[in-house]
Amino acid sequence: MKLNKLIKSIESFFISDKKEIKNKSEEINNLIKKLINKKKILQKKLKYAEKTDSKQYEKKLKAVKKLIKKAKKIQSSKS
Amino acid sequence: MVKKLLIIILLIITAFYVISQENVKIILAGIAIFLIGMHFMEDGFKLFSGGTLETILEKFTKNKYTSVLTGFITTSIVQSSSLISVIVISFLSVELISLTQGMAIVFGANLGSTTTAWIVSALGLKLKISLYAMPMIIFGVIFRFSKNNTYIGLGNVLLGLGFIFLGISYMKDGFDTLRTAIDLASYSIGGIPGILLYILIGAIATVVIQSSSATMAIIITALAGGNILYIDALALAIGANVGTTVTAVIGSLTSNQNGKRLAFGHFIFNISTGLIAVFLIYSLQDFVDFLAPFFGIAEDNYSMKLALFHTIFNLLGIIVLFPFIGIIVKSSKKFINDKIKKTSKPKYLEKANIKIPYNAMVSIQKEIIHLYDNAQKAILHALSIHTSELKTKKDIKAIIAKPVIKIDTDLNDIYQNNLKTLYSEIIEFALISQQNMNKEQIEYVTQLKLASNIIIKILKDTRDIQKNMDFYLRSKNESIQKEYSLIKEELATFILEVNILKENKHDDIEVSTLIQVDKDRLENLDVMNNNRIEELIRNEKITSKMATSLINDSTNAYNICKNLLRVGNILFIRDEKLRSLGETDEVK
Repeated sequence: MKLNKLIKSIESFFISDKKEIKNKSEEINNLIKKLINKKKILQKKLKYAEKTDSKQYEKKLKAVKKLIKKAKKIQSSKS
Repeated sequence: MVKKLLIIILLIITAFYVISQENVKIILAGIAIFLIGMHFMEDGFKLFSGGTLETILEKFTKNKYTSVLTGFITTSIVQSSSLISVIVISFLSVELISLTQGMAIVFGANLGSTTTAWIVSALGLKLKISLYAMPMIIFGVIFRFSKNNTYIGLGNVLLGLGFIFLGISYMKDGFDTLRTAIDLASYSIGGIPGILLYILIGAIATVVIQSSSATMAIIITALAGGNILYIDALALAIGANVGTTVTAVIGSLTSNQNGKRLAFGHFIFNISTGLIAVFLIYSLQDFVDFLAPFFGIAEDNYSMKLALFHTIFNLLGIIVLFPFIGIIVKSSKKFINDKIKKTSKPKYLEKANIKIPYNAMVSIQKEIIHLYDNAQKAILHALSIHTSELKTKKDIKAIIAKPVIKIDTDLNDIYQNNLKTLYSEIIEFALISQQNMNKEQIEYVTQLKLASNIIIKILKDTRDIQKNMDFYLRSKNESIQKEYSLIKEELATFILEVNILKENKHDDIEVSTLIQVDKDRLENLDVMNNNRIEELIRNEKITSKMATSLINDSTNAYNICKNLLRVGNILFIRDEKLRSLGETDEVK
């Protein structure tokens, strides 16, 4: 058992792939959070926007939603 | 020829002493081991920090005061002012810091390099440091077996420290036994001529060894062994400071203008500091004697007194010269002029940056932006648009409305004579610098190479449109003229969009959103264009020849715009994940 643990720790010293995968999934989660936050900000802005600005906000909102979709697709393919 | 002859003579003399004199052999071996230790330390910190050192230097150098402090602290840790200078030069070459900040860092680094003397005199002589050296070397080698760059770097740092300790130990043993064989101190000349002679010896030794830290280690161990007198050691230390500027000046000869200016500042600082120290040598000696008890330094502990002297005179240099830093910067700019570079010459690809992965990455990114600037200028000219005309979205309507005045532009010639050279140099620089990079950095540089390739493709696609554009914009057939006006408008709009991203006003999420908005717009435009073209053909508003050209050019324009957005995505989004979203296909 102890030998197993030792081998694993030596393995992790020379190969850092597992840690990397964990970091990457954390990164994509953070990115989704940031994008959702951006979506909320845009929705708020759109609610109170004048007619002239609302078109631009709508376009941006649509774009952010697409980015969230893409990020979620990457997230599901990783897990 | 003379240089080769001198080297051979020097080698023969060294071989003679190594064979015949046991003590000299030990001292020289100590110096060699010390120098290899310094080399490993430098290399180790480059790998170990993985960009941390660069981040620290970039973040904590907002003004000249923090720059001095950062220069001092970082040099004290990495024990190499040359490593810090190399990073500073490379920062200057990619315009991450100003010259004033760079010089302030070098001022601080000079003070930081005096900590070597403290380490050698406090640890190297009192303790049997060779005992600590061995475990460091053993663990250093073990860490170097790792595949992870951080561990390899840590291994190199440990190995470096181990060798430095071992080197000091050898030098100490050598000087200790040398004294019993020959009393060098008895040859001391004394007085002002003696001081000047020892300054010269210290300077020459540093120029030959290429490291003031190694010279200081030799001086301190020789002083501790009683081989030289205290006053002569003080002069040698001043000489080491002067000698190190020669190394910096020689090193800067192959560097860019800012590197030369920095070396100029370094030279002024060390020479002025050296002169102050020479004039005040006896007063400084008394001042050190006065201060020594406050630092717990015994009256007869001359090695530590030398370390204190070394720190005090460098600190004095900072106090005296710091207020004049602006003047030094101004005179360096006056003394070393800016070279006007051709568009075909790289602006940011400095050889010194290759060894510093983070800076190499920034250099490549900035150079590709430079390539893009040149390419977009040529593309706009090919579309008969002056770059000065296209600043805001409102300008586009005005450009399209006014009559076309052709700007003579041969995109083939521009590519062959200007951009091809720049493109090749970027690829070559990227390939070499990737060797020192970690996985993430390699991936980003690969994307940057792709961006430069796309820029060239955009230029070639524009070349294919140019001829028809010139022809049909003057056509009497209003329908085809209108279609080519729309293509011109589309291209100008997307170039402007990328130029807006370049201004660096938005965060990564906003840039990514704007790119996605443009992508959506491009897709809509494409559908609309295709529908319109089909209608024109159906209604026979354009001839079949016109139709073929229009279909081809419309597809080309679509590809150019799509590629412009790809370039924007790679160049202006720092977050790797967000960048990869931009490269991902649309989700239905």
